[in-house]
Amino acid sequence: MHETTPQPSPVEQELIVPTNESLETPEVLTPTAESVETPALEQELASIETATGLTDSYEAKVVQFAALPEEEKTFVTDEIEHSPEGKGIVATMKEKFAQLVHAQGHLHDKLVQEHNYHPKLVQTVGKVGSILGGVLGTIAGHGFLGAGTSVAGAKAGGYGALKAMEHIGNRIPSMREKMLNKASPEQQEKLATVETMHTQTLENYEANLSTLSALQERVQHLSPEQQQQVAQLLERNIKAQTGTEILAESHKKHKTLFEKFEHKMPMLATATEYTTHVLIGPSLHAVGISMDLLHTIELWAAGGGAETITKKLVNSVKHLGDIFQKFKPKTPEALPETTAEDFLPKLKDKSIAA
Amino acid sequence: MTPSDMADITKDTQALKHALDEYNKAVAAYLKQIEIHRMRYSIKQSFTTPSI
Repeated sequence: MHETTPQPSPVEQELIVPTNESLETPEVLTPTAESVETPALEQELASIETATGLTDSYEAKVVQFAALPEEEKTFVTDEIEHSPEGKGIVATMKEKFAQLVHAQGHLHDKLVQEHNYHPKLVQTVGKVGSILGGVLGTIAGHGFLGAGTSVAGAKAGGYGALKAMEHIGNRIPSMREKMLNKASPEQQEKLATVETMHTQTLENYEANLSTLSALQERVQHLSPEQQQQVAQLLERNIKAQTGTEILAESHKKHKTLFEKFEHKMPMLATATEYTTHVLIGPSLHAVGISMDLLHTIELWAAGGGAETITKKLVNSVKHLGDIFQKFKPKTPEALPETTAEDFLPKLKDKSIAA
Repeated sequence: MTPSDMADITKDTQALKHALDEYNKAVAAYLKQIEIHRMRYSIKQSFTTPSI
């Protein structure tokens, strides 16, 4: 791919790191005729797109419900959790959620195989994956905002639901206080230190996500030809490549940590477990953000034909292997201080970035 | 992707669509429950709130 641009344009001179023999040539997937989906697959993708739109509308309703006064929310969730009909509905939702997780994971696993590369399908499956880790995933795993059942549901809901539960748990003072009250003074002191460090890290991540989203928004308003050009420049930019790898690696490390946590302490039965849960809460948030970052880049790259980066991202979430043997408690320092500037091409040229 | 792979992927995509539809139905039922109990809460409040 490098040899196709022997004389970069002024735009490319700003965006591309000069070719260096020491740089590893990115592995490029060979586009195939099958990249153009069959009518049957195209129809399914369109249907899934419609269905995810419906899911989004449900999620919006859930968010509205979350904003209601605590007393009303408690009444509603208690009634659902204690009525036979409500119990049945929650049980069905958990079952369907598990089936969706399985179907999404199954297809995702196939897509990480190089010969199955398919940008549009990667986008679609990724979008369904984001549903699993969202608020609706939390409902399915736990029953909405039911702190009592949420802990027991952590194992059933899996990593995505555990992460989402943490998001919500952090917004419920009583739940947080309950966990803090079970911690020893030493644990609380450690918690305060870790949370302070995490806060700064999370601010960096959120700033990166914001920058990325703004850039993505700008790219979406470009012409198809310009979008293609940006994707190709991204593909050739070594900072974009290495930055993506750093993010992916960070995500992998944290996912490993939480998988271990989930299996080791599914019930949060002791003060130590509660404290550990609190300690890693911000990291769960960080993983959520880094997943958003990766997903944003993934959609961007897949949509623009940046196949090498797309493939790296797909592979980054493939890793789950022997996570238990590799487990070591991670501290916030494990999170790389990556900035958007580190991994994005500098879209300074007004012909592209305006 | 071979034609066989494509057929396989298409089948899995259909399964994903089916699973998503089923999940959406279940969530819709859950949201319906929320609406029902919110209505009950509203009625309950109307009885417990002292009239002016």
